[in-house]
Amino acid sequence: MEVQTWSANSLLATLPPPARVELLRLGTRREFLPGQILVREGELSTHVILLVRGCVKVTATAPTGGLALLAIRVGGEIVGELAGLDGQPRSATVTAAGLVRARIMQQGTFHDFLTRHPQAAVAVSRTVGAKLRWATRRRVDFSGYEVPVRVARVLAELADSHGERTSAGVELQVPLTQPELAALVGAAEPTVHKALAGLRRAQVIKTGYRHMTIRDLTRLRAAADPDGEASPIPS
Amino acid sequence: MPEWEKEPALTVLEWPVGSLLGRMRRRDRDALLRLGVPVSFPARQVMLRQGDRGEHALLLLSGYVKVFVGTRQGREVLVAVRGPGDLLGEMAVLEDRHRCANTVAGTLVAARLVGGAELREFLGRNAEACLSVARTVSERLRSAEKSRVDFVATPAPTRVAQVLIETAQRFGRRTPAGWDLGVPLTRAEVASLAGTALSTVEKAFHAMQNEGLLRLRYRRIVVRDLTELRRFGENPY
Repeated sequence: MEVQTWSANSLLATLPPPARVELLRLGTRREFLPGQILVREGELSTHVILLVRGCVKVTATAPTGGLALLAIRVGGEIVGELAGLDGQPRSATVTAAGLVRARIMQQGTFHDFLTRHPQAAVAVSRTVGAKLRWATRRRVDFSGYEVPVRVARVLAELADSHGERTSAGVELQVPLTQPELAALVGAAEPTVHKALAGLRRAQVIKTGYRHMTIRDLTRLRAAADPDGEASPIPS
Repeated sequence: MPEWEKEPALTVLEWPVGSLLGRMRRRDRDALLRLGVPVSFPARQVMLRQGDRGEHALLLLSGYVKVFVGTRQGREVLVAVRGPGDLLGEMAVLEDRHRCANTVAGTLVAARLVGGAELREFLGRNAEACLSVARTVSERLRSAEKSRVDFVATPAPTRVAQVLIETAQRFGRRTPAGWDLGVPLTRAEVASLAGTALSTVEKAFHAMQNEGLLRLRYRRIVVRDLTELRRFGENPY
């Protein structure tokens, strides 16, 4: 089994082993090509998708047509579980950002599995809670911090959740374009561009085409937290 | 004495539809209501504190609660309002982490205080109840994500109107004068919920009052007509 591809706080990583083995056998196996859509916003489908490998982007459109990147999900996490739980229309579009291997479960299958494994139901609540924390932090950042700080906060969190240590620093495992980063931060692209240029000049980050390495995580964290120590970051 | 500061009724037979208790099967609901011990909080008391370990959760029986996230600059951002039938503080219990928000009683509040171990044990052997909890957290996530999209893409006065409409729909009461929001909210708190500046809320309220859509008394907001306010939100000024 490809344990190494699961992100540390993901559902698969936190499930008790028997439940994990069973979950990996449920539903049907499917692969998605880069750019392919797994779930479309507004759709009434209720299947749940377990990401076994690869990375997806979760986006939503505003009534006025603007696009917001809500989250990045990687191997070990589930997507589409909100509709799987509450049957409401899909709140966002999920797009493969690279080759994705996944398992697709019908709502009934998912529900039966959780009923058989109450600990898995607790684990699913926990992961939905973790997603809510992230969304709430972005919302609070929006009201409480200037754009450069918000950019640094998003990068520091991505480094923690989806980063890999290399000799050059912490490499973000998620291919993000600048418009996407701007959508994630909730700010205009030129402003985000300027913030990134600042971090690059200070040698805190290194960027290439759809590629980013955090060269100095300590200083990135300092930029993410202009007032220093104080109370613990809600995380 | 305003309606929301009167003694809460302890026996609510029908819980609000979107709340945890409103979503649960009767058997699970009764079992959950038997957990923990009764507690009450006067208005403005801090019920759960950001940064504390999640050692217990609170099941809200009556009254309204405000959820604030404190930033390091000392700003308190109101991110949500919760009401009867809602469970509070369960995320820190389930994730065994620090609390990510301050919860403050907005009115007199009656609740049950359930220990973390007791709650985990209950949910760990009762998958259906646990799924109800997951559904309420899903609902909050949907709402938080919608706010994020709106902040980027929807004009601020429209967001102010939406906050009023959504609060009235969830917690409001019909009165002869219109929809009383049911929750005492300051203008700064409305600004927080809408992700905008206080001055924007003041300007929007002024315009709404001029059009006869809103009546303001001390910390009390009455929406004359939800449909009219929605129309205002679509085409503010």
